[in-house]
Amino acid sequence: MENQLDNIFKISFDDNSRGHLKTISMWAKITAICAFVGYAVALVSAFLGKNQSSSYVTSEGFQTNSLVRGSSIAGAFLVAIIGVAINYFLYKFAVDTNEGISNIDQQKLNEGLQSLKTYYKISGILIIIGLSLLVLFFIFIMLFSPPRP
Amino acid sequence: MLILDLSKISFQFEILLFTCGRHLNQLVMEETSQEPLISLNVDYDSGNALKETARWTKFISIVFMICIVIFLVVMLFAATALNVLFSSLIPSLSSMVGGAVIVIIIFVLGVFGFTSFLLYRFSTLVKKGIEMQDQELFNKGLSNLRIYFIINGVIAILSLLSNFSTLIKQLLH
Repeated sequence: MENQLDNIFKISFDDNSRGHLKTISMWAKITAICAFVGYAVALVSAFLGKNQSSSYVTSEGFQTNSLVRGSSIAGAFLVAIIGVAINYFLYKFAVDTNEGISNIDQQKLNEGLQSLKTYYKISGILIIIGLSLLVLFFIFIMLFSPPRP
Repeated sequence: MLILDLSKISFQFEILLFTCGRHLNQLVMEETSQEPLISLNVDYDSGNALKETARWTKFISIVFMICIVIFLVVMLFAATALNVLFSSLIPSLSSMVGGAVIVIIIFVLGVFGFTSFLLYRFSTLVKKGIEMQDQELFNKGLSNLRIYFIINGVIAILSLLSNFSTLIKQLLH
């Protein structure tokens, strides 16, 4: 254990790695802010779509269209909530890491790196959930698809 | 007498120089010993966080690369079927436009493949750098993450612009 601790302490954030981390934090901040704004825009456009389609529904009488629009808004909400939750950690990573490097604050830098870890951890878990759902979907299709003559 | 006094003075001066030198030496040593305290280290917490990040990024990048390969294989096998589908959907679509669509898809897949490769390189190099105490490998890993984030940032800006254009179109219609 002690040996492992020594090993970790022998590497430092030198000028080179600090420069890399500064650029990483800057672009991570841009990505996170773009994501936040993008989710807001997607929500607004989903609502606008809903308003336009409701006028269309009343004139044409397609109830299914309104159902599809409603589900698209719910989908946009779900995506926005998950996306904001994930990108919050990316934003926190960017801010804390930048602060840690600028003020030579080890604590802040560590907090930033912890946020990066959480960001990728949540992303990985979501990918596992998505893949599991995909596999279940294929199994469902294979089991319940009508047999070909 | 004067010679004796002079030798005394010079001796005292030597002592003074010696003590000053020692003090100066101590000061320099203190400064050099303080240097690691001021600088940022990959300590236990940050090392652990980076190792865990590397583990998850490795998983994510491998999954992405497998997905891209599967998609490419499916595209290769279904290329003719896709061409027929495109031409039935849009009869005026020439084979050149269909080819352009395939080129665009391959370009997008290439960009995603490259970013996944960068993420994979980050994970392996940073993990190796920490385990082997190699500063150069560690820096190379961070450099890969830097390029990854730059590409991701550009993609995020482009997708935000596309979102805005969709919103503007909706507002105009």
